[in-house]
Amino acid sequence: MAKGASGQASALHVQELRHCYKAEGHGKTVPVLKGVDLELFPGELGCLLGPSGCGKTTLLRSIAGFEQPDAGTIHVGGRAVFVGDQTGGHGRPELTLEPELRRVGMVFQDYALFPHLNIQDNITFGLRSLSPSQRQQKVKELAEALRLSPDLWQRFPHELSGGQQQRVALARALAPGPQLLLLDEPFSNLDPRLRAEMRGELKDMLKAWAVTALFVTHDQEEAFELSDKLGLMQDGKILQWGLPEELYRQPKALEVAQFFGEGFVLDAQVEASNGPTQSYQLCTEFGYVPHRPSEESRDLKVFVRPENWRWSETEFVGGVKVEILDRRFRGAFERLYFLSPQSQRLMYLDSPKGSAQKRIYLGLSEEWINIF
Amino acid sequence: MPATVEKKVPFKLRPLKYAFVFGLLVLLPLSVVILSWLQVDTELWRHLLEHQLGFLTLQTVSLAVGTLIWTGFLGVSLAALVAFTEFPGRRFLSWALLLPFALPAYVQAFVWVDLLDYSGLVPTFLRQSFGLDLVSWPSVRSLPGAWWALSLSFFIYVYLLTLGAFYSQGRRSLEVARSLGYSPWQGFWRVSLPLAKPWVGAGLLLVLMEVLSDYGTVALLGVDSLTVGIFRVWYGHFSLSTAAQLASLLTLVVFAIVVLESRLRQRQRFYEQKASGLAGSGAQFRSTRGLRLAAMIFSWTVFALAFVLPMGRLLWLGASVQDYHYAWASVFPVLLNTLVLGGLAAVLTALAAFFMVADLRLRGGGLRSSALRLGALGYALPGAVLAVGVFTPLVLLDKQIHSLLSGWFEGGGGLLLTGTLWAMLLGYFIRFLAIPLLSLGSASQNLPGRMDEAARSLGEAEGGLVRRLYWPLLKKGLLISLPLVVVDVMKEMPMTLMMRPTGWDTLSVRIFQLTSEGLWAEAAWPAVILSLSAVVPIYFFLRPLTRVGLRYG
Repeated sequence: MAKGASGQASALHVQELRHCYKAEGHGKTVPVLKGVDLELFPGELGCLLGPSGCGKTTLLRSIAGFEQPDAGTIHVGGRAVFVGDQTGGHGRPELTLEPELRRVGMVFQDYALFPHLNIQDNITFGLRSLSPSQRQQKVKELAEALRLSPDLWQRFPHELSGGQQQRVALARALAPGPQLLLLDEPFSNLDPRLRAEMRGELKDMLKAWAVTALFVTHDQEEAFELSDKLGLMQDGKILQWGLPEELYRQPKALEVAQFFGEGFVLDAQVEASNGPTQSYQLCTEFGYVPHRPSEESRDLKVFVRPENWRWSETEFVGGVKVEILDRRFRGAFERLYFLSPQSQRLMYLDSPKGSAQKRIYLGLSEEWINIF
Repeated sequence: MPATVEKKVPFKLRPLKYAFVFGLLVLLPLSVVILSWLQVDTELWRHLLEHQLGFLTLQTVSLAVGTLIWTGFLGVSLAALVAFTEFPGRRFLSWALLLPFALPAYVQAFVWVDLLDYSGLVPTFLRQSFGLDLVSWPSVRSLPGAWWALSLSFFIYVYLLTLGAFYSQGRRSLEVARSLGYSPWQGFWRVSLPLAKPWVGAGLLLVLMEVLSDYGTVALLGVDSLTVGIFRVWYGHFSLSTAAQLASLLTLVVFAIVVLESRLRQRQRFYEQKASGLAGSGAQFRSTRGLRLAAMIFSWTVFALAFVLPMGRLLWLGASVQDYHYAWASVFPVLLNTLVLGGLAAVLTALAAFFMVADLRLRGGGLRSSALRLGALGYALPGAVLAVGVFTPLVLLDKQIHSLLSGWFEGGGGLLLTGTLWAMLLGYFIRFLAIPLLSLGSASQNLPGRMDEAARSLGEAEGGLVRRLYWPLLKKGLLISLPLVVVDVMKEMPMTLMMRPTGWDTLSVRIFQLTSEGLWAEAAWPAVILSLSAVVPIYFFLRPLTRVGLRYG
């Protein structure tokens, strides 16, 4: 019943998920998920990136079954685990599987290890159906993969370092062989150096075990490094879900573009160009760019990143002359400051080779800009 | 180098240097009960060993075991229902279940005697309406009656601590267990409950402490516990030293409990985890109708039995008094006494605690911090032990003064200290110093030490630190402790009973006297005043503790 799965069966498919929190006391409701869609295929690592309070943790908890959304559907491994009320009212969902029946593992932000059990018992907690010797085997397997030396097995969680605790949490979640692993800000409790180390290790591990995983973070670097699929979440919605480079290079919304790094937004008007064929172009204060309009005569925005200006020290067709006000050496590049010719905004461009000129010529290149 | 610095300091708070002595006062009753063994009344001890001690111990142990089982059951099950299920009134009950705390155990006991004794309300009603005369009606004045009354007043210790544990640890770990394939019920037994053990244990130890130091309830219900034995030896055999020796046995047990409790608290620290992220919204058991109904009936029944019914009966009794003017006129002076005593004790302990904490910050050191910890131990001393421990040295001192003065003039001035307000205040001081000490101590620990260094580098001396930093920053904790001490003084019974000077009855003593003569209606007014004033600190200081987990719920 995996609706909408394209060809290959998806490992996780969330459709139109909506959820409100009931505020304390007065019967107000606060929407936290406003129609969320996402899809992950087996073995993929998905990442939800977004500022705190955007609803990403709620989404994770809904998938795990700790929150009951108001509407929408969730499929895990092709099996429906949640089907919301179809009638549209705030009735009971048509189907909701208890968390323990979903086969979804979760690694919590604070690990939530059981302090009264030693490491071995923590890891084998979810392996009730196995015989003691099978459990022992599983602990060995996981501990080896996660580099937890056997002398740690009899220790208790509070005797372990942060990194070790995280490995245990991961081992515990992986032990029962979940169809999907959820990770809630997995590295936020580690110091930065350890974070980078654990990140690589986690990725290798998940790939080696062919685990499908979805994790949330607010750290861009982490998201880019770990994810096969990336979603930018803001205010209860996923603005764009796709490959990481798609989000960076072909953002579908200005918010997405602005989230990933600095850039400047320019006003642009659509104009028909005078030529033999009917074509259009965008007019900005930095000249013209060809454009295939979907709607005519609409005011648009052009987004350009500081490293994506088309510029030269000599004049070129369509280039606009600007005065360099200041230059700063930034290591890998030099940052040149200038005022935009019409709006008189302070802007800059980043260039690896820099320039010693007082004036340069600036323009927009078709392939390096985004139009909204 | 330090010497020159010292000279430059313009104003040094010398008296403050000795503030730690307040904390050492607790050693007075302790050393008295221990030293009492230097002189043993063999005759009396033989009598005690032959006829009394075995029975007293047996009764005390059965009293403790029964109450612990009941409070454990009530406290844990209520905490679990409130933390993990959803039922009508859950939110309200989560804090309202603390209200029975307002009724001291001896009040709880007398209401139940009034209701269930042979001539009480319920049996009389059954006789008159249904002709049901239960000759073998189980008497409230019995061991099970004491279990009942004590459990209804003390289960709150277990409830409150366990609830906190469930909110902070249990819900979260239940989620983990569920993501690993456990049903809520299995997860509760395998994880949430075992995790809460240190807190349940700490709650039970507090209950045990209360049970051991209780006098009013057991005296009223005719259960011969160790405290009753101390009273009996004092008043029956007039042997202060033997009473002190019995008290030392009780103290030994109590201190064993204190040690155990602090052990558990260390365990709690390992179990505590940062509860970051959402603490789980709402109830974790998707409640079936049956569970919901059972949870509702059980919780509301306990609440009704422990608070609504006794409080209602008290109000009813109070309202049925014929002459309101007379009732008020007889209770007013007692209330005034209580407030004066409570107020004095509150102000004195608060100031002493402030000086101790300030001194500790200024000078540090092992002596001062152990004095602080010692001072907080006074709270664990049973009232009867304190009474014996403070009374004995004062009697000796009085005798010395008397013989000294007799040399100068006829009569020698009588007893100057024993049986005065000062003796009693000393008792209160030792017992209740813990309250401001704990509240100020934790407030002070939360202030960064660098703050003091910053002030010093800006040219402030000790006096300035106290005046411009400690006082404004710790004032709030100090003010909070005042009503807490007042209410505790109001509820305190055995020590006041033993030490009060003539004419200085407090509400609790008055209630005890009236109820031991079976004058229920007359006891109702002071009991109502006492209970209602005790509701105030519960609402303001204990209620917030139960709201922590509800914020997301």
